[in-house]
Amino acid sequence: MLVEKTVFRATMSDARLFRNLIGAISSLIEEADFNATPEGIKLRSMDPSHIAMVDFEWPKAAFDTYECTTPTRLRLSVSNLLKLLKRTHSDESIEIFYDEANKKLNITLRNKIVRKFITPTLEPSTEEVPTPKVPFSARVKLAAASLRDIIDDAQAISDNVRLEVSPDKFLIKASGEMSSVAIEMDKGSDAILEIDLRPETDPKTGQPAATTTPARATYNLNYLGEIIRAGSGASEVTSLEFSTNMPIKVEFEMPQQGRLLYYLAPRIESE
Amino acid sequence: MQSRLYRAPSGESRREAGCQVCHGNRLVCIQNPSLCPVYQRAKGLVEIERAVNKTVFNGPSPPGVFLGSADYPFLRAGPPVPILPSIDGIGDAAILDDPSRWLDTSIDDLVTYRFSLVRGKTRVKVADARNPDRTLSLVQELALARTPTETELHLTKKPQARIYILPRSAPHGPSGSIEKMMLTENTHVPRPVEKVTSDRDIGTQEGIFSLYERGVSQQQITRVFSVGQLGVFKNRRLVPTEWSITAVDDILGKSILDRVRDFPQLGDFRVYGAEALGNNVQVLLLPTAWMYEALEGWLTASTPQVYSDHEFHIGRRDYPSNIAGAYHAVKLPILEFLEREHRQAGAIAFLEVDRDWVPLGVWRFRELARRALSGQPIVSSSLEASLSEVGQRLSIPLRSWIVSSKLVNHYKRQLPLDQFTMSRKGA
Repeated sequence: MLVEKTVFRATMSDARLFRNLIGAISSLIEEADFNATPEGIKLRSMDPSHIAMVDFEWPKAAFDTYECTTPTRLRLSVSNLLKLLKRTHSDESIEIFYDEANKKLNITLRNKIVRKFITPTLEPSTEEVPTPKVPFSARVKLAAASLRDIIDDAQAISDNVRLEVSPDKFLIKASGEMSSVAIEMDKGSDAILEIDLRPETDPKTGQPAATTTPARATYNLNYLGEIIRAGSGASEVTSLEFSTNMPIKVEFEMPQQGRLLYYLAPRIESE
Repeated sequence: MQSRLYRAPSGESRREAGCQVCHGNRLVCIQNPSLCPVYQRAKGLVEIERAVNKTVFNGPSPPGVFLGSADYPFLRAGPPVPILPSIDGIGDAAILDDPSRWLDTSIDDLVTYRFSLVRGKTRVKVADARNPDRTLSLVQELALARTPTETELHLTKKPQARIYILPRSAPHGPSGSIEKMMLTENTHVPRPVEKVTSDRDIGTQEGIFSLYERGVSQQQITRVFSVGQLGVFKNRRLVPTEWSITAVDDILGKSILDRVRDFPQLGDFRVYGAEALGNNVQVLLLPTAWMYEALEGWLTASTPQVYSDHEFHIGRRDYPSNIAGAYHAVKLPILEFLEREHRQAGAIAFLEVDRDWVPLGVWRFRELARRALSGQPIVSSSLEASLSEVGQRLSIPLRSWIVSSKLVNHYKRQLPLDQFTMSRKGA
């Protein structure tokens, strides 16, 4: 009998964690390429409206077992994959196996019973997704759940949110047609783990400015809300990085060098 | 099915089912029909008092069904039957309850159509869909038919000459409680309807879409859904007509959107428009990924105000409570158009209602959007040019629409992420 070489096979003891990660990606992306290499899997994809981007990495060490003999690009419908993963129960383990001959992904959920789902893969794209190259001047690290509450408050009032970081304060403002909200968090607040502000970088020369000024930028709350909701389901700590009128990078802390981060482009408000 | 999601919010009821007299408070018109302008208009057109001076009505039911939601989870369900032996110029009773054929009819004719039907009512509970009594099972049978069915309706007493105005469905004329009803001929049930309704395991959304794909009219799908004949059997329930209209628009829209999201983006700005019956619908398509906004302006108000609801590419989680029924009724024909064209686009719908409109239902937005999108567009290469084209076609000043529009603002102010990326080759 001909024994086929395994191109890609990985297992995780907690299927729910994997489901949450895929859920976090699916909030922005419908279809994406998963790049499997001997080191782990990576996904980087721009949302179809080119406003936001997700960057996901799950290294070999974050899986319980991991085997990848040849780098492989698997294009999957993320929403379809999530539909299957929503079937997971607690205490279930998951095995993901790529059946190269049939171009199908096999997902096996194991507890008392063994359930095997098979889903097709799509034609991978040849496009390389570039990373935003942005010098960030402000960085705020905080509890993901607190950030989620704040964003929910703002979303109840407006479609956009203005973020402002000064050396000792993180300020969030949203104003709608009728009402407005301002949330202020001092450096000493329990929800804040870290605030850091450096001088802005001149985009032309690449040189830092002589003085430090507060970083201020406005973002679409619909997109930011989806990002925060998605990430806070998979992680407890978030860090936000941005500079005045530049994209924001939202990163969720992951175990074992796992990576889940998003970029969101700013809105330009008339002054 | 969380049908309750589709209930009409108060703003929608006030605008869609209101006039200068009642402002959407239906009790005002029900208790004082002599004040209701629509009733007065109807009375001038149909010899109503003489026509309803009896308890037994015979005639072809269009077919139709109406389920009122006033004391939900109890419903008043029943079929409409013509009150006049023949209505001049109408050879086909089906037109009396088929909005897809109404756009080229005058408002007077539409009021006449609606007022020429008497509606039988029987009090039922939502769960009765699975276990109907004799009358409800006849109502269900009628709702499945494609063509008019001869029906005999015995009411407990002579119906009162009234008109019921509703936010989404067309208004209803006289009605009365059913003593008994009979179908005096066999119903003609199309094969797909028979097949899908007798399948007790297929989900509601899947059932709705499967009927749509087999060419069953939206009007009939809504009817079948409303009488609780779709979905997994143990979950089947009756759905008030008002809610089912919007539910079907929304469910069909969602299924089509899944496919539209895969299509390439439109290459230019386009304006499509159509006007009829005192309503003006302009659709502006933008060369972007799918996003959608409905803007609604009422010239009937003393100071016309523009209402808005929108969704970005990632969709919306909550109910579009400003525009509600019209939001989904216009979104569906736009998605149908994009699917035909194999394109995705941003879409902003401008819905303007003139003073001479009387509340006849949300269908006119859906049908006008369909007609608009089957015509020739004005194509341009900038948002400003298209907006000014739209502005020329509407009565409410363009700036009022723009101030209320979230997507125009988004288009102008949101930067793309590409502006901040450098390809790795260049780095």
